[in-house]
Amino acid sequence: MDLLANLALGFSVAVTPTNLLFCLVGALVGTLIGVLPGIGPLATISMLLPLTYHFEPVTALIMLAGIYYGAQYGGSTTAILVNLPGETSSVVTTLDGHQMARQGRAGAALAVAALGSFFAGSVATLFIAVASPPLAQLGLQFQAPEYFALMALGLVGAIVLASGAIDKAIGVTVLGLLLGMIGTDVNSGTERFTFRVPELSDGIGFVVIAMGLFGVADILVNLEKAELPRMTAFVGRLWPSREEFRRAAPAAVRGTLLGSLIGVLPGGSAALAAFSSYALEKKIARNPERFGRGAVEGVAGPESANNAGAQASFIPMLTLGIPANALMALMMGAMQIYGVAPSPRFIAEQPALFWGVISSMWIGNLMLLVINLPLIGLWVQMLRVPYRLLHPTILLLCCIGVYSLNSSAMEVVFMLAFGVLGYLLLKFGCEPAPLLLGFVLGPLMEENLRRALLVSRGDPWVFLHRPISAALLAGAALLLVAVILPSFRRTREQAFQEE
Amino acid sequence: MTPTRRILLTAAALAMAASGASAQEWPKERPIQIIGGFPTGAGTDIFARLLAEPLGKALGQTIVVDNRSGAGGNIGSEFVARARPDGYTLLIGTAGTHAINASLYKSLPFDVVKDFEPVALLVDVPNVLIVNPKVLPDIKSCADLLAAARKEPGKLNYASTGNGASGHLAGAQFAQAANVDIVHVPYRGTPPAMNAMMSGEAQIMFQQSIPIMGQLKAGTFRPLGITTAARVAALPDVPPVAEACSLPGWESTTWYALFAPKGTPSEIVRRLNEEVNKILRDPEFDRKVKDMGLVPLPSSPEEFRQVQLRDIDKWRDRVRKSGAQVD
Amino acid sequence: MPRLLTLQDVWAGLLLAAFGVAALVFGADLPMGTPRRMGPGYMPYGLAWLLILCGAVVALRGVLAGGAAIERMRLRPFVGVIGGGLAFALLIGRGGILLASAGAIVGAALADRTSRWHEVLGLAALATAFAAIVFVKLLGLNIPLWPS
Repeated sequence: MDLLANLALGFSVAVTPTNLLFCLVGALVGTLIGVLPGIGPLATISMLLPLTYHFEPVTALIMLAGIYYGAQYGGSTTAILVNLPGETSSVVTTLDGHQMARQGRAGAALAVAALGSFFAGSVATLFIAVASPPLAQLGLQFQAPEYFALMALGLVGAIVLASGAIDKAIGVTVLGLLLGMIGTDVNSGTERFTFRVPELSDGIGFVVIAMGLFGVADILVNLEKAELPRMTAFVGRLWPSREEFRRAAPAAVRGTLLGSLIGVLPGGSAALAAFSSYALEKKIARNPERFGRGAVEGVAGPESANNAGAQASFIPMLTLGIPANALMALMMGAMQIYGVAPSPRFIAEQPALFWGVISSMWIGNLMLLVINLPLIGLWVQMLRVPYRLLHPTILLLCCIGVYSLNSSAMEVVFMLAFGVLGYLLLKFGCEPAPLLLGFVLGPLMEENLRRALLVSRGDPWVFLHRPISAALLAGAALLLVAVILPSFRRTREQAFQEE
Repeated sequence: MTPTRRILLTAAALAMAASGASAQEWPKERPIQIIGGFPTGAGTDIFARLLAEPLGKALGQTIVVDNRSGAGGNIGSEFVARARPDGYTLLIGTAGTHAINASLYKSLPFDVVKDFEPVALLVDVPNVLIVNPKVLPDIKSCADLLAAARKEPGKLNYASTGNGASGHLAGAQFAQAANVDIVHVPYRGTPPAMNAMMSGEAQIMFQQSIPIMGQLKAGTFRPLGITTAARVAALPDVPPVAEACSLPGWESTTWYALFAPKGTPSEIVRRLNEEVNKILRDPEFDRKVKDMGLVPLPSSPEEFRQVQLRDIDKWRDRVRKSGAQVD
Repeated sequence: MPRLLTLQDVWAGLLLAAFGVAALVFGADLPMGTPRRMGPGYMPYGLAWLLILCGAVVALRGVLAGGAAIERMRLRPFVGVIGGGLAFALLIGRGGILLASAGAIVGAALADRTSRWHEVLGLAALATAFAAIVFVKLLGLNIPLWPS
């Protein structure tokens, strides 16, 4: 069979001592930067790029890929232990993962995240091998109306995802949409709400908002409490219980499938995969009130999804030469420097390179599991550190992380401002998470809405004439109706009722 | 001496001492940074990293590439315009940042000529006029394209990587010269614009050569013309737009170049210029650059300044005619 | 304090509506365009009114139904944490990573009434060294170590 022959070729390339070594280096570096909040794979890979010019292209790509998926593993660690997403894709992991840690189940949460990620990584590797060409073709059919419809569905999902009063959830989402309008409008080139501050001309950075809303605001709220958060009491078992295992396994399978599908879409990302998986898990749970209070599915699903999404996003880049996100664009730039520009004929022309990199992904995931499971004990030790020592460190990491993005002190100030906003929202009983999704989707949604109308020369029916767009919009409408229907609202409110 | 004057003199002396990395002792044990004004992975970033390696070796110093992207490259330019002129901060600028933006933006917080020392022109970056053969199978030449556009005015879309990007201006300039009605659809950078070309949402594009060499070789996109006045080595079969579309004299290229902040000692500028030109003439480097569809442009700082001044005038006229404007 | 001004929902509504009003004011001169060919001002205008509407609903619900009161707010954490962050932002450009990091640590420590001074000094030394080694030396971020 072709597939077996191809994978055999791939493994023969991937297990040479040099390639194994750099696969390990990439995975380790990725874990480290994943644990450090703010500094992400994009910055790291661009900084390490000059180093890789001396490598064989396949070795260089194996290492760079390792950094990317390694960061997905590492990102979950800080999300669970200190409620600080190390990567944007681990934002949702904080919701239940950190709650588990507070209940003394940190070890179990970390183990579930690592095992789920490994499972997802293994499946995604196979998935890339089997499905690369046909799936990339599907993604190619997406035009502005489909993107708009997909984002509309995502936004409605964000509202359902939020806990607390629905009018507040909608309000916070709309605030996120509005904040996303800051910067240069793509369609007209006009600057909006930038007040002549050059740092605002391309909009506020996602990391700046995320660090402010989740990192700084959290410190502010915690320090006000009479009792500072203490996590020293229960560290708990390092292994999930049988019951946790039973709940986590199917969630990991669903997250893996969802993440693979989303990752392959152009514009899809590990973060979007994680958000969607969380919404799905909550939707199908028999008792959704457990979510936000340490439901193990809320860790297993998104952590599997973000890893699967990270790996699947290689598909459109490697098979079509079309990068799905900035990181893939950087990888593509690197490949061009190595003289192996990706294109539709890439697999045929460079089989050893393509299959070597794919196979190394599975090896890298196995290494990460082996590295990370024993390290869980070490990470859990971090919980014994008293909060009075922890919060200054978190503040410092947030500051350096944001500064490292663009070397801009102004962005550190923006982050603090978002800390204040997040603090006020929490004080006024609003959950800040939907703001983030609204912020990401807002500009894209507007851009694609206006582009769809520009391309259709002003015909609004274009959204319903195209089948994929019509189906996605119908889904969004159904979900919205369901949220507004009285019966659903009652169950939803019950679900979020305080104990 | 009044206290104020004394303070001023002391300050001036300190400032001189601080900026006094005199040319003799340059470069010291301190990394030289090349600032880029576009995101990591953009053409300027790829090229700066390609250049940083041999240039660092030639100077015996580490060179780091640091991108401060935003506002059409203006954020990076402003940073370098305000940096200390000691030879440790350089800018990879483009015809976009240092010629087009001067007329595209109503006001810039720096002067693209007065605030910079020209160091060296690097490469000419052609745009390639492409169509997707799956979407427009019958269009095999620029003449076919013009005929189709004239038959159904306002039907074809051309994609660009953003308002005021070189591809947008080339498209506007092309539509005007050829007198055809094609609609501009801007995207947020290269990847989504490529998606739109693949899906057929946009049918025409003027795209920089670096990111699409792979697709051109594979036949995913059909090149109808190149915006340089002459053919380029990497794409020998692609005629210049002027020839292919019967628009004599038409060209629309942009360059990449190295700038230093105003006041950088001329010895340092000379030395950098010499080393860069040596690298541009190196056969191995030349091959890499030509494979990306670029044209190396070794030149002196004075020649480069002339090119910049000429292009500022040229693009002012084109920007006005295209109607593009950014606040 | 009047009871209304202690309610979470009233303040949440006012906060949301304030952002909507600000967007209307600062976005007033953006071109609107038409629904079929929207200008850059169209979406912000619509979203601003939607946000004001949401804010009004939330605040009104608070006024009518009451609901939870705002928990006590304190000044000290606020001044310390935000001050520490600002110190970092001010110092990082010229003062280098060591001074800036120490500023952030000390600010955050001031915010916390349980801080112990000998611990803070130790933490500041450790954390600044860690920041310098990991971010500047290992990851090669382009930040000066010392004041320049």
